[in-house]
Amino acid sequence: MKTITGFLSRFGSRMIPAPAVQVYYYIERLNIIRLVTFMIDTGASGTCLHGFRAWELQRHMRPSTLDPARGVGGSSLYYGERVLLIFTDDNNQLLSRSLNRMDIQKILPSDVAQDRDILRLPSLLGRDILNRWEFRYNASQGNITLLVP
Amino acid sequence: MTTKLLEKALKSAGGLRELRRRVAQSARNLAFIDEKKDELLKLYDENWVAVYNSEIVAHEKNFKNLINKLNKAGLPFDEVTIEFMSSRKELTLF
Repeated sequence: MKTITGFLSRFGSRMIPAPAVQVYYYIERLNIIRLVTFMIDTGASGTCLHGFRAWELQRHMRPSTLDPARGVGGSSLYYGERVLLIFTDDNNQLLSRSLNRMDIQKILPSDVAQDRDILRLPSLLGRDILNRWEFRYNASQGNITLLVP
Repeated sequence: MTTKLLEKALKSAGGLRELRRRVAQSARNLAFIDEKKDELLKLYDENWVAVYNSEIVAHEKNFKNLINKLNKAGLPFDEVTIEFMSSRKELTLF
């Protein structure tokens, strides 16, 4: 069993802290690798990039991959990319998982002009990864753990 | 066992040591933001802040301006921890 330790983050705001974990994503097609703080979100069916993380990729995205997604706040369009997610476990060993599709929010310049908060939205680690592992969430003790068999 | 894809990813990141270094650095930057959050919110409310080596190296109201500042300072975008500081009380549903 491997252990990945997460942490609590307010993502720069005064919101109640949320479970988070640092993960690299690698898009082989673009040869781009980035370290992202993902909010661990059991309410998200799929892992997705939002905010400025999605914003920086817009020019590389393919319209043919666009799919709609619905959330409690409304709906949005997402591009898709095949990615490798790379985690670091508590022994500093790498743990990688492929995703056939990571969703990347479509963000237009007009969206940013209308709502600058769109660049603040956190990226989400969803059930496409979480359902493979055990997620222990004890915020009162500050313990956020992903257990990987 | 390292897969070919993971090897490519590591090469893109500059190697395993570099990848681990960035994770550790990012963790320190995030811890800095968390520890100093009240102070940062007072100083940089409604600003984007960039943290590098546990120091605020840039702040701007506009995200594009922040990136321009980082580029001018020669600070690599993917090594800097960026957060938007906001003291607004808001319900967030993600």
